[in-house]
Amino acid sequence: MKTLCGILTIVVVFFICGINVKAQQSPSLESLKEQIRTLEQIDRDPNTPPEVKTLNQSFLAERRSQLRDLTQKRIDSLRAYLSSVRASLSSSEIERVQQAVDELQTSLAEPQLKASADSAAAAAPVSGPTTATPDSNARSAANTPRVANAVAEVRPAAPQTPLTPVTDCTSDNSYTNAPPLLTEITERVADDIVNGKNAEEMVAGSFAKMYSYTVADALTVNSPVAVRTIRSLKAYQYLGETARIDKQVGAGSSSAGTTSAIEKPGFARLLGFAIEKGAILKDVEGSSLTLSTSPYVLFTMNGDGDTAENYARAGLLNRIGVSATFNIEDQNSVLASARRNQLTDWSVRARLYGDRSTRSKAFQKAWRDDIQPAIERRLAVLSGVERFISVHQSEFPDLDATNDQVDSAVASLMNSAAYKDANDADKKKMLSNTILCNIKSGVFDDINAHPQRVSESTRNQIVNNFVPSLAAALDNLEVVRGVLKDKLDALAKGPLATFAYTNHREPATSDYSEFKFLFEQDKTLFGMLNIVGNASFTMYNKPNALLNQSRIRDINAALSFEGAVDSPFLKNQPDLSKITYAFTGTYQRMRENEGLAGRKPDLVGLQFKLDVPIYGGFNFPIALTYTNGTEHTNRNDKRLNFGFKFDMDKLFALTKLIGMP
Amino acid sequence: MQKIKPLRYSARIGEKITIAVTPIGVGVFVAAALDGAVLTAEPDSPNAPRYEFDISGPAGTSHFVEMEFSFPQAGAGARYDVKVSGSNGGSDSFTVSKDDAVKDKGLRFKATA
Repeated sequence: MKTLCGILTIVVVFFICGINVKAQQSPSLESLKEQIRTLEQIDRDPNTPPEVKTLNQSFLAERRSQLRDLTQKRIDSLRAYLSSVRASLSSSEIERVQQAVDELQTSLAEPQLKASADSAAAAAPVSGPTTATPDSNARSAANTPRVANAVAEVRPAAPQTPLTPVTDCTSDNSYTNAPPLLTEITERVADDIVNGKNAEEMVAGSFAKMYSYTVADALTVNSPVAVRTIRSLKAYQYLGETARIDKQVGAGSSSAGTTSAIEKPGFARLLGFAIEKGAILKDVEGSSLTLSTSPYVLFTMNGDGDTAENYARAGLLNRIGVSATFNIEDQNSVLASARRNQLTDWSVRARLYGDRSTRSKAFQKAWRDDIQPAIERRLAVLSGVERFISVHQSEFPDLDATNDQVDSAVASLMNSAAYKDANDADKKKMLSNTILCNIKSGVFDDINAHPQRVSESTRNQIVNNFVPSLAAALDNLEVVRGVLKDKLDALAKGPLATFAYTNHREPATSDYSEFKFLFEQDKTLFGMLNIVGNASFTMYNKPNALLNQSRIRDINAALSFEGAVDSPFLKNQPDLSKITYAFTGTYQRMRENEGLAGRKPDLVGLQFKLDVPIYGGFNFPIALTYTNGTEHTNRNDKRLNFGFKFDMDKLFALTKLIGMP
Repeated sequence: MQKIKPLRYSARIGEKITIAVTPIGVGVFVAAALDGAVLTAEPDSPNAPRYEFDISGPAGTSHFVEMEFSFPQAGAGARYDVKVSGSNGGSDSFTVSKDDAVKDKGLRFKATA
């Protein structure tokens, strides 16, 4: 009798399978539901022979997967339809469509679509995709015998096929209480994907970390004894990047249109330009454009580019900077003014002492000695737990399968109309939700559904070793962040000496050459203020005796005391430039003015200057200046100058910032 | 070494893996760890760090390399070009840029017999 029962059941199963072949050609929700009902009856029938039950369960899992996919497709179609014709529908019609969507959504949660973890786990490995829901995932890993900790005893889990992505993960974050470490890295991954990076690469590059955080969360959040949960750890921020404030991006102190009464010894190594309006110690109004670069740029054109290797080989070329300043006539097309007849001066600078680049040998050594070990400590903790989980993989959901599940879900999302139509902020949110939702169902829920699978020793290792070690590594990084800030400050404030040669072109009088020594040293006065000093003399190329000119044109000295405070305009922005302020005094001895009526040979200037960074790369300099005369008049002058500066080194960052909502 | 997916590879036990980093527009600010221990660059590669390690298995397990790329005060366009290769052949490459949101990368190598 039992044999006859078995034969009849096999006939029924294959009859249904035959129906399914037809159904696959033209599947319908109802036919799939009917097939599932029938297969479930066979599954529940105690008379069903075990081998038939196993076969039946694999077919049942396949039907459920098909039904889920089909239901989701219907939902997507209805949503796309509603999105495209919403304007043409009445409110009642919209409601009908929405109701249909809601019904389908509800059906996704019906028991019929919920794979029974136990029955599926009992089934033989299936060749097709298994069903997966946020609550229960059937995994062959569950059947794999648990192993001891020793690496030599590792028994890898049976090969697994990618799991079906969990549906409807885009609208809400189902992992609302995920560890900040996890949400932060997920949002970063989503950010890069939206910005055009390869989605699989972005997910894979961070997936082992995400997975480890989730494993730790699942094991610590339900720990029977009080332990430090991974949720208590703050999100990791990469060690900061700050902007330099020592570069002379604008025109030199003697150019028309400058707002600087004193020059700084640093210079832009790559291309920079600045436009400034106003004048100091000149009685002309004007605008100037300064272009600056370095011979090092030419050196890097050997095919390899600006590599660390080339930088180390360039030697002296890194110490030289060249610049040219032009009068600007057309404010709407400033670069068109960079013509020979608009050239007001050109200069060459050579760094004599000090190096404020983070690429300097001294800073790189400081990084290796004091900063890098803290970063390595965190990386060692992470790679250590990842390896630990790998050698104990039978106790956990399969890493690669879960990664594939997330990849599949992300790919599916990115192909959906809803994603394509969304703005960047919404895309990021949808991607984050999808990743978190799938990792929750694939890892967190799975571990909690099978608590007995994780051995006590493994649990102890993660709860009592990994999480505290990670916490200690992150705490240490915060300490080192302060050390790095101090080192960057020290780098920016170290002594710097530069020699500059400038050739001034003066169509109205005579061209002259300027030889200048520039020095900067921080905290020399009261340990608070930065001090900048210039000393220079200028020589006429061809002195004109009719204009009372001799070979030496003038002798010049300037002294500036500077400070800096954080900019309120750059909060939550990557550009950490500060508001800088400076009190500057200048003295100039103009020999040719001796004995001339209406002129003064001794010129004194006092200036207060404020340089306010407004937005990544843009600065707003403003200066209040008093002079007892200029080169061409003995009249006192009080003047307010302002302008804006733009740093090409931050061009890409600026472009990105402009694109942000 | 075979590429399974981006940053996911399989390699035979005994195979030597090399990860070569070229910093562009930035100094050498790279840190790496392998399976719980700091991974040190080869001493002859101070300006273009090269990391090497052997796949030791056991088969079926994975080796995990975690790397972080820093850009302290680097200019626009700074990046690290990274090439991954195996002594039995096969290679892959990826780039980490200053403007990337994610600046630490995990690579995994599944050991095969």
